[in-house]
Amino acid sequence: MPSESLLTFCSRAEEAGAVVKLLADRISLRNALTELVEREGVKRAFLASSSLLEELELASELSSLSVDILSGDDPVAAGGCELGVSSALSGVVETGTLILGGSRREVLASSLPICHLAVLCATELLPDLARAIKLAGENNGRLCFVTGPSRTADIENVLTIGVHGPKSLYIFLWEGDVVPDG
Amino acid sequence: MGKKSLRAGVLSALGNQQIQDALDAFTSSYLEKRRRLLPDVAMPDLQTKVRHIKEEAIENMLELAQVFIARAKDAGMRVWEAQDAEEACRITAGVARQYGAGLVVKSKSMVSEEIRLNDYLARQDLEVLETDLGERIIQLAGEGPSHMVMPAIHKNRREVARLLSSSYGRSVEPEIASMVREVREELRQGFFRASLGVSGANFLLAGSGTLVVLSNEGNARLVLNLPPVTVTLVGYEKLLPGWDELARLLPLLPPAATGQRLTSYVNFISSTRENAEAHVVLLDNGRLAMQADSLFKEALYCLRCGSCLNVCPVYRVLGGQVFGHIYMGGIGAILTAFFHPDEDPGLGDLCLGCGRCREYCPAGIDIPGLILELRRRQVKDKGLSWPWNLAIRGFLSRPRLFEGGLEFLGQWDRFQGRSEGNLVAIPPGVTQGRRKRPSLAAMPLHKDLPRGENSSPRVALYPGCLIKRFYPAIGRSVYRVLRNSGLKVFLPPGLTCCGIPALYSGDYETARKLAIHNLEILKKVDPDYVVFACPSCGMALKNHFPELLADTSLAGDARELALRSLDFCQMAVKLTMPAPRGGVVVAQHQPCHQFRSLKTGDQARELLRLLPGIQVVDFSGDDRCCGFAGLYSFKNGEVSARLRQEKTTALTASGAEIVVTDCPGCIWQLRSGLPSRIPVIHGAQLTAVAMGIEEPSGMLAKAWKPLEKPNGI
Repeated sequence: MPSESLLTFCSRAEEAGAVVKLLADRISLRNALTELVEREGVKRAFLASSSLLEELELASELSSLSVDILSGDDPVAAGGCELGVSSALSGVVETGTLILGGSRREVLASSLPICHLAVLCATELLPDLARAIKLAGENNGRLCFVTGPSRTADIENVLTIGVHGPKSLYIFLWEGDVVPDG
Repeated sequence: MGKKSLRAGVLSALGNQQIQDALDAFTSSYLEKRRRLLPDVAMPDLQTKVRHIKEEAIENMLELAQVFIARAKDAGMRVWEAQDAEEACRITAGVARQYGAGLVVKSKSMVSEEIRLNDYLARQDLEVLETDLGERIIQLAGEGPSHMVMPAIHKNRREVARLLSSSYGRSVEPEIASMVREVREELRQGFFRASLGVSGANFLLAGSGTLVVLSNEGNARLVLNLPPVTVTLVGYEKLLPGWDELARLLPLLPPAATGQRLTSYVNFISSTRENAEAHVVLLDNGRLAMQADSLFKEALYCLRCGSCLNVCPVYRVLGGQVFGHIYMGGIGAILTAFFHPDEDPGLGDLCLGCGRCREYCPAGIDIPGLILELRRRQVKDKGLSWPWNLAIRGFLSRPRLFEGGLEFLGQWDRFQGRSEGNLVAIPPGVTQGRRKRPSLAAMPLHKDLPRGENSSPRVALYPGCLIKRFYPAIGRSVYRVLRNSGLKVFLPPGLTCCGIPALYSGDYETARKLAIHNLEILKKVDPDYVVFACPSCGMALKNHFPELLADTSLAGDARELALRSLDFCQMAVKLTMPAPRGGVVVAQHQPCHQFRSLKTGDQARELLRLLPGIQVVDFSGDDRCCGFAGLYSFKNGEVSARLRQEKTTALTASGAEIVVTDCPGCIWQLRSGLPSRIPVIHGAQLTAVAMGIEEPSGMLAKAWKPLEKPNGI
């Protein structure tokens, strides 16, 4: 049974327009990916690199779903993919927010493709924004807090999801085992 | 843009249904969403906390800038300091040319609009692409923004489709989702091609050299991460010491700005990318002058959230292209005076002084107070325009002439057979919009009430001009209700206008003169209490007299008078109420000066709860200004009439049989808009009837349902 804070994170993130999945094992991961790929019509995916993504073998999982895997530095290539995948450094329960790193590939994966999949460990959630800002303060690099997909209400105050950033945001919270670093 | 075109703009906006509907829809949904995250009751506490942080940050603005410059340099950023718009543009264009920029992509930056960067860059043959959807739309339209956060809110989908069609050279479907998709595709190419990205920033953290940039569309992230060179334009006032301060301010900005918990993206940039250059331009352009000004310093606490616009009754019917000059609404009037003094179209004249913005501003900036101060400085410098000079300096400031003139007008009205309650036409050309006035009463109050009292408790009534001459019935009710409880109410002779019309026109000299005149009379009379039934006069007695006379020998007397002055409702809530004599359904309109300035609104509400037989109904917008606002309705009649219309629509829909309000100005305004079947009376008049001290008369008698009616109810 997921903890209360996990459930709060899920509901806050969903309120903001994200699709959140709690995944405890590789089979659920595969199912969730299959669903995503089908729903979003993914043919090409741009992957950022991270130990979590490698551990979960995201690249090969997606390949087995007939998705071409791209990486590298080219924004045009990233933009040409239907899906961008990256792992989040952390998440914020209070607001359903993801904390993303600022390396080039993380930025490309999370801002250009129309669909962004963020993967993070369920244990990496911070309780509130105050603590998230504190973490950002310790980072001293380039970070981005992401809450839901991109949006605008600039035309007639009608909410439209999907502007320059992603139109859909999927958050996979990994509850399974993770091999410790080092 | 001068005063004439401001007026033309006002008339045009009021006639534009599209703008009216868009602003109406946005402002109502905004307040609902905001209140869920930032409840109204939490505001005073919040404002204290925000002010505490901003006060220190602004005090140390330039020191923080030096710290920021050093830290940012360590991180590999280049920081420039620009004294004015010209310099900021030159620096940006210089950076662009250094890197051979052809295309520049921009995310939202009010500073870039303030310095007119796009025009400058265009003159340098640089192509600028706005990437914020709203900014892109107005860029295509060649217009200025109508709102700080949603610049193109005044354009409907068909107009947007036309603009896009024209730009793309092909037909575009006026369907919102598909248009957004098309703009995404088009601007995508811009992000890839651009050699320079220009952004703004919401906060700068000095201690770590960090830029904090909020966005919903995702364009700021692309502007800051794709082009090889970026320039971030920021005013000095955005500097904060560090992350602790940010932690307290950041969570407030999205709820105040759009009613969101958090924007989709918050970018933190404390380092530079590989093979990339990051530049920051710190802008003065008048900010240092504001910091040095002890009164206007607090305007630098502004977080640029737009709350003031969103709750402003005037902004709501005019929009930012009229009630704005780059910066909009109340805060815009202040910033324009410092950033664009030569271009100032006189936005401050559109301010009602209702104070609603001050309530919702996260930093509690006294926007109406600062606008008034601008007016005062202008009048000190340039004097009043000749008609107002005549009316105020020539007439109002001379009590004998003024009172004599009103006496004469009263005789004239009597001669014409007019009585209290009739509406009389104002000769054309005298005012801008307001066409009628109430008739002067045949028996003004000062001829009716005792002029002195010997036994305690002695309560002097300060009626003010409207009650004394136009609505003496209100004064009579105050007298009777308080007398009934043993308070010895009297009206000292010789009192004249409290001076508020002069004060709010910027003429502090006349206001001071009238303060002294009235104070000296009251000082001599030495009452135990002074009661008022007009909240504007109340403000004069309690706030403005002490302020105006602070540096004079009368300062102590003014403070003493302020302490002894009470709103009628403050006294009435202490009365013992009898059993009900009847009943009526009431809607209570909240006068701005009573509820927001004097803060006796709670007692006014409490009084209605205590009065026997009174049933109160709510109505929407009960706290919004009725549009009278003293001389405002004479200077900006059309805006005043529009606000009155909204108010009367809400009141007639409320199911109320009568409307009660404690301000004669509001009474004047509402009576001239409501149907005669819904009488508008003062709280004192309702109290007198409810307590059985007076019999209801006129239209009130028709609405009042007495309990002992022989035929039953």
